[in-house]
Amino acid sequence: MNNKIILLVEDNPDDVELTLRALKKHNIMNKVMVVNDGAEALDYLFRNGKYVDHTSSGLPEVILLDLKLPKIDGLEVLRRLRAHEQTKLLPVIILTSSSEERDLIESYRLGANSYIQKPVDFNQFSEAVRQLGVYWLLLNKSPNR
Amino acid sequence: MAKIMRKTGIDIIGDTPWGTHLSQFYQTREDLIDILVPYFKAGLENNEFCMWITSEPLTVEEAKSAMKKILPDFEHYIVKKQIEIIPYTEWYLKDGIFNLQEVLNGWVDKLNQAVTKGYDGMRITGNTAWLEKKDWKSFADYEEAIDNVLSYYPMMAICSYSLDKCRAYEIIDVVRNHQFALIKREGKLELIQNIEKKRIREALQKSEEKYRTLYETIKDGIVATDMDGHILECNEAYAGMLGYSKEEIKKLTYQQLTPEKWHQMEAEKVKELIVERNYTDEYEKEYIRKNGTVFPISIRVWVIRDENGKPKGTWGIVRDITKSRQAEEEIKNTAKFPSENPYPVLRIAQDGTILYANPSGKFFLHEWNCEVGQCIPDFLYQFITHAFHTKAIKKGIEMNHGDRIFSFTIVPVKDTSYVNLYGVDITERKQMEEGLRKLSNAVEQNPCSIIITNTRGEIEYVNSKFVQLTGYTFDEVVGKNPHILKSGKTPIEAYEQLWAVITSGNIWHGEFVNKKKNGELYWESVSISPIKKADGTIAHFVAIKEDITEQKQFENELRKQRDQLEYLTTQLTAANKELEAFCYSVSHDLRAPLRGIDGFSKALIEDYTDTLDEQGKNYLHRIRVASQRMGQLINDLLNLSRITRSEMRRKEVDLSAMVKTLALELREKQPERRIEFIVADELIANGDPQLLRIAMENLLNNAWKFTKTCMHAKIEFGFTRRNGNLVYFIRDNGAGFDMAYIDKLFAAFQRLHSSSEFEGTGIGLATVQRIIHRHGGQIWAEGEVNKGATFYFTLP
Repeated sequence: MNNKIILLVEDNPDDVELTLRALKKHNIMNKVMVVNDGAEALDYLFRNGKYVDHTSSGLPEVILLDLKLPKIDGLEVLRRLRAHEQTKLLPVIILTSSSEERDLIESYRLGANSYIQKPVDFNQFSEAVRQLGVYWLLLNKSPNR
Repeated sequence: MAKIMRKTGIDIIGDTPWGTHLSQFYQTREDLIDILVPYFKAGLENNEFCMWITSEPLTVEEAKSAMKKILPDFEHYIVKKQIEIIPYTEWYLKDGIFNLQEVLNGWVDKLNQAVTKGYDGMRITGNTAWLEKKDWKSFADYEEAIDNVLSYYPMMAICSYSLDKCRAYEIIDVVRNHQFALIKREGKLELIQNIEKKRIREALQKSEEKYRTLYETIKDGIVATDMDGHILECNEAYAGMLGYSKEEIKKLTYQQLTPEKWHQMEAEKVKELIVERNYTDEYEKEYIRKNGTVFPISIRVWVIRDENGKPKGTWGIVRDITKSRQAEEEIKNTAKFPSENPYPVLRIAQDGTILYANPSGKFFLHEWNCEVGQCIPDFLYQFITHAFHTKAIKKGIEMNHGDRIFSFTIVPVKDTSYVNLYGVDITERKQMEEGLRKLSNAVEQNPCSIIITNTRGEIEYVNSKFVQLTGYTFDEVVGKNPHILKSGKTPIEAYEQLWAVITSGNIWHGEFVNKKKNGELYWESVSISPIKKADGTIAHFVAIKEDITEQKQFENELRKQRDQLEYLTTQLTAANKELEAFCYSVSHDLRAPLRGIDGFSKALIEDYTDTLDEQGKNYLHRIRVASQRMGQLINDLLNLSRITRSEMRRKEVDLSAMVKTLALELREKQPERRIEFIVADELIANGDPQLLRIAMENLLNNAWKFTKTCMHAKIEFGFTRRNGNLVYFIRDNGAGFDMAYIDKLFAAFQRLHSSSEFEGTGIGLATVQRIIHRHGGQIWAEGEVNKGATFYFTLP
């Protein structure tokens, strides 16, 4: 499970820190690739921009995607992933502060695999991260790539 | 006969009227030629029939050759027989003797022939050279007779006498019998005028004119016939009543003008008159007009006789009695009127005694409990007395008989001591009047203004609403065109279209801006319809007009308000959009730092537990509580705004089932609590299920929360009725509240309890209230500290 990469798309460094802490706390030792905006996320996934020579690792096992992002927002990132043959089956978990129904619906419509609202309470946040880690990294069977 | 001047051809005389009787005394043949040739020339040239009776010293041939000398086409007149020149023997002395009557009749026959042939009249001359002494007396009588005859016919004559043959007394006779005497003496023509004759002639002419005027202007017809009935003469009135012209009728006999059934009677009448009595008589019979219609006449007839008393014709004066016959019929009908009259007729004496009553009148007597010979009731008596007193007809005394209404007229009869009473059944008229009165009231008092115009559009009637509305009086508008109301704000085409519609027999509806007399404008809704006669032609137009000015103003006001509302709605939508953006931002951006505060506080507590004392840990703990509470506040706030923004989807909602489910959830969360739930069954409301769920959840959570200190907690969901409306309620027996603070109960972030007593953000009831209000319902609460609270709400 360690060689499975988690891609965390998050612009808020606090949230990045807390997410990594929660993962570590629950002994999820997978490598976490952090990108800070939607454009970087796409570059990473499609080996563009500064990731053009980044051939060492394959596609992430799971993507934790914030919605409100600089440059290209989370929903747009999701839409482009789903439009691309290579990435259309990647598990994408929306991890956002928004509890707006329209965000929830739009996310699922675009093909998100899961939608988690980040709780303010760290205990609850930590629990949510643990559950998604257990589910997506241990239990879920992805199509062979 | 008309008095027409004729040219004599003799210079010394000039023009004379018909009937002129001249004598000429001559000595030589040339004397005769000098006078007679120009005399006949004038006659021939003026469409007269001419007869020249010659004797010595002028022969027929000499006369003809003299004529030819001055008239080149004289032969033509001979051929067409306009002139006859014959010797005296063939005229005066047919059988060798002179017969006065025969000669006179001869002239009249010749004249009739001439007139029949189309000549204006006849001019003649006769020479008396053949006269012998034995004939003189009878010839003088003849001359007198012919002088009379001439005055009635279109004739003129010159009688020539040989000066050498006449003795003095004979010359006197001649001059007396003629108007003029022409004498050639010493080659010069002299004219002797008989003054006496002239005076008589003029008097006669005047008198004749007078009678002729009478004859032609009298309305009665005047007719002269011969003994066989041929019409010889008649006036215009006679020909006119029969439908003929005078010329046409003179070809008929009176028998032809009379229906056959009268012929025998009339023949006997005439015979009786003529043979047995020389008498004028008047009788009635009928005539047939040219168009075949028969009409009654009365005729007064007398017989004309000749000198010997022999009847020669009749005169009649005829009167058309059609009208008087009709009047007679009417009088006859009137005479039997009372007994046949279906209406009451009564005759009442001055003292009130009933003298007569026809069958219908007797019904009234029966009603009044009296009969003929008795006295009329008092109420009638006063009218009778009054009628006698004033001698005036009293009309319109109305009396009822059963369900019929009668109108009586009292007629005092002149020079008698009674009055007649005539009754007429006026029930239908009354009903019609009543109907008309209703109709006219309906028009006159109509709340719409009504105009009636003729087909030229001129106003014949307006009702009082029109007067009240426009300020014009009835007299000011009658005869005018409704255009006087024009404000100029209605397009010409509208009027043209209107006129086209109504003149084609259809009804026009529309609206006008019109102008009152004082210049004020007003709106009218108008309906104009043609009123048609029985034959379908248009007789009038009626316009029914409703003043819709207020309605128009109201519509305007409404439009303004609607525009304002639309503007506000747009504003509101924009504001909502902004709010939405704001909320989105809040939900996202405010939470993230909170999460940081909480997360890193937790990290501190976990990672630095050894270096932090209890106080420090406590602070960190409080930071976390505070940040989590803020997180909760943000959540509630967003929920509240979402309730206002989200779209309503109404459907039937089973509130009973919803409350039961929520109660179950609460029990599962805190199974340790013992709470009695009482939920009324089958409370079905119409509303948005999601919103109602949020409302019910909040209310139940409150009840659950505020009963936590109760020993025997009880929560009840039920309904009651207020003013006939269904009211739901949720009641608990928990902490309750002080009614003094009721106004803070539903306000956001207002709390009546401290957080240490009961946790909460103060947004729950504000949310509930918003949901109920969005459904158009009401919510209110009743409570008492430590006695519980009841929340009532309605959902229309």
